[in-house]
Order: sequence, then structure tokens, then C-alpha cells
Amino acid sequence: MESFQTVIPGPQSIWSWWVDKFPQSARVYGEPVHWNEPNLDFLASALGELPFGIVFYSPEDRFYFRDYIFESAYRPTEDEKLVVLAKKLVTESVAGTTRSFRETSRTLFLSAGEWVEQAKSILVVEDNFFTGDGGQRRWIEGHFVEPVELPTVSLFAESRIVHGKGHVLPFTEAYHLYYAYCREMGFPPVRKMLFKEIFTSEAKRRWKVGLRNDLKVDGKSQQGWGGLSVSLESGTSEVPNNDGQAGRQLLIADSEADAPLW
Amino acid sequence: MGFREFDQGMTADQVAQLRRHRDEMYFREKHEREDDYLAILRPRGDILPTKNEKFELWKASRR
Repeated sequence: MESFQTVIPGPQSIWSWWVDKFPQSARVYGEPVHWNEPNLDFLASALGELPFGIVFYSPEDRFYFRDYIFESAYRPTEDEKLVVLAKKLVTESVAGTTRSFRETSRTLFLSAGEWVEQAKSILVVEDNFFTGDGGQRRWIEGHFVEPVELPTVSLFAESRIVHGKGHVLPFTEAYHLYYAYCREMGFPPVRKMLFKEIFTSEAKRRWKVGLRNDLKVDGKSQQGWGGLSVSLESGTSEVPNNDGQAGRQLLIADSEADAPLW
Repeated sequence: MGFREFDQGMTADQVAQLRRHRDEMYFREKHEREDDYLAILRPRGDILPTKNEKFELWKASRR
């Protein structure tokens, strides 16, 4: 009877380097090449199987990895760096192999950018990955960001931004006020370009408002958001949320009342 | 491993020491490989600890 339970090893796959290094991904998605095409699902998953837990955080549209140097907190990284890492894996996989295998692996090398794109769906985590109880700790711009906090940009958007017809919020002014808000609250502010990135996605998520390059302010074209403005005092009102949770809800001008809040 | 080391006239202490050394070398190699990957992902300009301190931090992170 026992002989039926014995796993008889099949012929050694040419992809054994990948399968041995990323067994979980191989089990779920198969080998790195299917029908002479890179198996992007496997390759994207393989990036996440590396020991430093690469994940994609969609609210900020960027990847994070765990860095043991910073108490294993998550750190943001760039798509391009992941492409370089993917190419390094391919280079390692072909070391000491035959010429024909190196040729076959070339397709993987050339598709590294596509794996990273695919990783945005395969390695995506929930929006509350870094917030709330059980959220992960981050190390950003030289500071730990504790999971119990919302990102400072989200807090700023929540407490200082009003949405209404005819408002205009130039990017430079928004950052200036965000910076002042962080100083006031004792938060470490993020860099200007990162602020733009995060605030753009916040504005889109909360008020369905995108970043524009053609806002007219004092006759000049500026980058910013239409329909938003900063209110230092009266931007928020203490009214209960519809879902019954304690918290603040932004007041919306009548004409925009049907625009979704979240 | 087995009894080969004893055949070569090593004491049990020496064998244990050799094994510890092999384990350490194995983990150092593993750490260095992982650190090479991390070096790609980290931003430039990070102030990082020395090689030995990094190894100790890495070991601690795996406990």
C-alpha cells in the first residue's frame, strides 16, 4: 500500500532553479514559462515569495518590502527597482547552465517589466494593511509610521479639506498647508512629490477629483485640484457617519451632494 | 557528517565546533544573498550598520 503513497520524482525540469526557490508559486501557478511565453502569474508571485515580503499597496500605488535593518518595518520602493531585482533573479537562474537554456531564459529577462505590472494584482494587499489594529509598521522618510495612524496625508485630507463647487486648490498651496499641518500636529511630513502622489489618490478616492494641470489661479495656469479647498477651521463638522461609526464627516456643497465620499 | 570526523581523530567538542562554524557560514552566505536583493530595493544614501551588525540584526529578525 505504501508504494502508492510514494512520490516518484519526474524528470528534472529545466526550470528546477525556479521551482526549488519558489515552491509555493510553482505549486499555485506552475512553471515560469508556459507554451514558450513567460508565466507572469508565477513570476509575479515569485517576487512576493522572496524572504522580505514584497507587497503592493494600491492606495499609494506603490510596492513595499520588509527591511530587517529597520526592525522589519515595511519600506516603500520603486517599480523600476523591482524590475532590476527580477532581472537579477533571471541572471542567477542561468549561472552555469547551457547556452540553449540561457536563450530560453532570455524571454524571462525581457519580460521583467511585465512581471512587475502583474505583481500589482498578484501581490496586492488590503487598504487597511498599514492602518488600524493588526496593521503593519512602516519606515518612511527616516521615521517609523505606526499602524494605528492613518497616513499623515490622509489625516490632512480628512480634517482640513472641503469639497465644494467653485473651489480651487493649487498643488503648491496644498503642500504648504499640509506641511504646516504636520508641524502643528507633530507629524513627520512626507516629501513634496510623494505628497502629490498620495494626495492625488486620496482626492480621487474620497471625492472623485483628479489632479489637473490647467487650473486658472490669478490668470495663470497651475497644477492642482478643482472642487477642493483648505479650511483651517470650518472644514469639518461633527456629524455622525452613515455607518454609525464615531468620527467626522465632511460637509459637501449641495450641488456636489451626490458625489461619493469614499 | 556521521562518524567521519571521529575517524579523523577529532574530539566531540571539535566536531560540535566545526558544525557550528559550518552553520554560521551557511547562514552568512544566505544572509549575504538576501542582502544583495535588499540593496537593490533600498533607496540610495541609507546609513547602514556594519556587515557583522547587519548579520546579527538579520539573525534576530528570523527568530
